[in-house]
Amino acid sequence: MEEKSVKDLNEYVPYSKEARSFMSPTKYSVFIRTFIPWQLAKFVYYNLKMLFVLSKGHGQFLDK
Amino acid sequence: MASIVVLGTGFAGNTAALNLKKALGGKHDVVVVSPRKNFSYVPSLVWVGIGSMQPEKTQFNLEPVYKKHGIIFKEGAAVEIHPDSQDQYVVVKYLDGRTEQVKYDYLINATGPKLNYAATPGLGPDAGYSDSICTLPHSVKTRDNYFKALEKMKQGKRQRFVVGTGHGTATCQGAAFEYIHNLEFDLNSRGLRNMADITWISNEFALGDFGVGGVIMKKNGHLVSGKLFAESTFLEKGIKWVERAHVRKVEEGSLDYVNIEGKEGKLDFDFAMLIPPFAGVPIAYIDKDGNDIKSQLCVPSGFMKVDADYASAAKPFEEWKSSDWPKKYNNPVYKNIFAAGIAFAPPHPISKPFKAPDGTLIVASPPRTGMASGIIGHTVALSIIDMIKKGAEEPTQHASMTEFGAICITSMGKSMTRGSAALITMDPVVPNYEKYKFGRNLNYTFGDIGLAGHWVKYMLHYLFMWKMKGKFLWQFIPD
Ligand SMILES: Cc1cc2nc3c(=O)[nH]c(=O)nc-3n(C[C@H](O)[C@H](O)[C@H](O)COP(=O)(O)OP(=O)(O)OC[C@H]3O[C@@H](n4cnc5c(N)ncnc54)[C@H](O)[C@@H]3O)c2cc1C
Repeated sequence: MEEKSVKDLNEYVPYSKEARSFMSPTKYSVFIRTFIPWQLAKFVYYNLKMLFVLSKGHGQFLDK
Repeated sequence: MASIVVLGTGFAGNTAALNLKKALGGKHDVVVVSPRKNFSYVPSLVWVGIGSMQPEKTQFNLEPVYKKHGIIFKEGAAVEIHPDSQDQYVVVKYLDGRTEQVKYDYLINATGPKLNYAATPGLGPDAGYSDSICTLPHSVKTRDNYFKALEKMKQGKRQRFVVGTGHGTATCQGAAFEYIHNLEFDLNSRGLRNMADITWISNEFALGDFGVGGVIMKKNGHLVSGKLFAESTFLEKGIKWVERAHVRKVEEGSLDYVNIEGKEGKLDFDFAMLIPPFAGVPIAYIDKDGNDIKSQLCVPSGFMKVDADYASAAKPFEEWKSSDWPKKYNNPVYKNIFAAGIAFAPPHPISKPFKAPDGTLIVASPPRTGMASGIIGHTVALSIIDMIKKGAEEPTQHASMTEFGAICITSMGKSMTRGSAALITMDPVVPNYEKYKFGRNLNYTFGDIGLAGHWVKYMLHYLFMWKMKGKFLWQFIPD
């Protein structure tokens, strides 16, 4: 996957549609995405984050 | 004794039925009508369509569930609703052709979408040339066609894959986005990625719009557009894309499109998975004199009118307000009829609509995701419970898509060690520019990509199957 990414970055064309708002993960970002210890921490973080969203905006609202 | 009839057993209908029965017990009847006795966990059909999940893992039989909970189940399709007569009833047509009049005091229409393949000539797996993952049979067929393409690649034949939306007003871009990433991931895992050209086509104004007008989120000390993230995933994986496009027709091995600038194009393919536009499920609405009153209850696309401001659709995008969106989901004329999930008619899109020079409307229609459908089904059930138990004349509960948030987990590859998913939370679903500068509360609007996202997605599959089966402590699992 990383090789593919490098290949595409080599095809970078200035002023192309893609170049106008360019963003691509670095090798480090790609690595950390499947680095299990880090992802375990993220798993806990995501669950907390989801609970926040659920508690804030989820469920029903009684008419006052 | 009141009788509550629920049409449909998706996230909206099943959530409503289980909650109604839990609160009303044996004193009132909860009757569920659906042409299919299986619950289908639709989000995982993405994995079925790529062959990474067995079809039966996404399904279960609802009959024993309903039996255990004391819910009456009728395996048939609602074909007529008679809201006017003294005895309000639904005509249910069974598989053997028999019909029955089922009376109701409260009715919940949670029939989801009609998959409107006919809107684009040549679209769809039944009468056309493209595949789809919106139902289990279609997803299985997609998987089989994908496997055929794999065989060809193994024989050295390069294959062209096109994935996206098959019409200018389609919705569910998220599902197509998941599919294209799972496809790319699977090809990579099989060592066949170099034999494939993968192209995305969609009606979104920009990648990452997803029919919710895109998303601005906090990330690494920046406020950043979801567009950049979506594009970066395609750039990283060498996926080309066509945006702002209405697919005009699909033929064997190619499709024609026009974009909002009027530019016409053609994409050749060996395999295409294109999501169709949605319409309301065709049900006749008949008054006591036998007249067709569908226009009172439904918008032209067939979705049911609820307490939304439908006149706002005629206003320009800049004048749309959060108050246009429904809160209580009952019909303004027949107040004991509710619509939940995809079945309710949104007042207008969330994303800004555009037109091609020839007048073709190109806009990603508003998604009503599984989570939103569950919340709305639950809200409607609580209102009906109050109307029955406390004699409330109007629905007592509200849950507007401009008030509640959503958690979207977009699978990008199914593997417990190498997979990933984009986890996006947004609050609220419909941007509220009156309240928030960027439309949403940035403390709750967030996005990230990684393996942990896949674990969450996988966990939710089993969690929601548990909940939908009404198993021990189901009621504590959030919608
Ligand atoms: C491939 C795919 C992936 C998705 N992924 C996600 C995701 O990851 N997260 C998410 O939140 N959402 C996701 N969604 C969206 C989600 O699946 C839908 O929002 C959700 O299924 C809508 O629920 P519903 O109850 O409104 O309708 P449905 O689930 O469509 O249920 C409709 C029900 O009505 C029944 N019915 C139809 N006609 C009749 C009739 N005439 N009479 C009686 N009953 C009838 C049907 O049999 C069915 O039981 C995805 C959608 C797709 C297609």
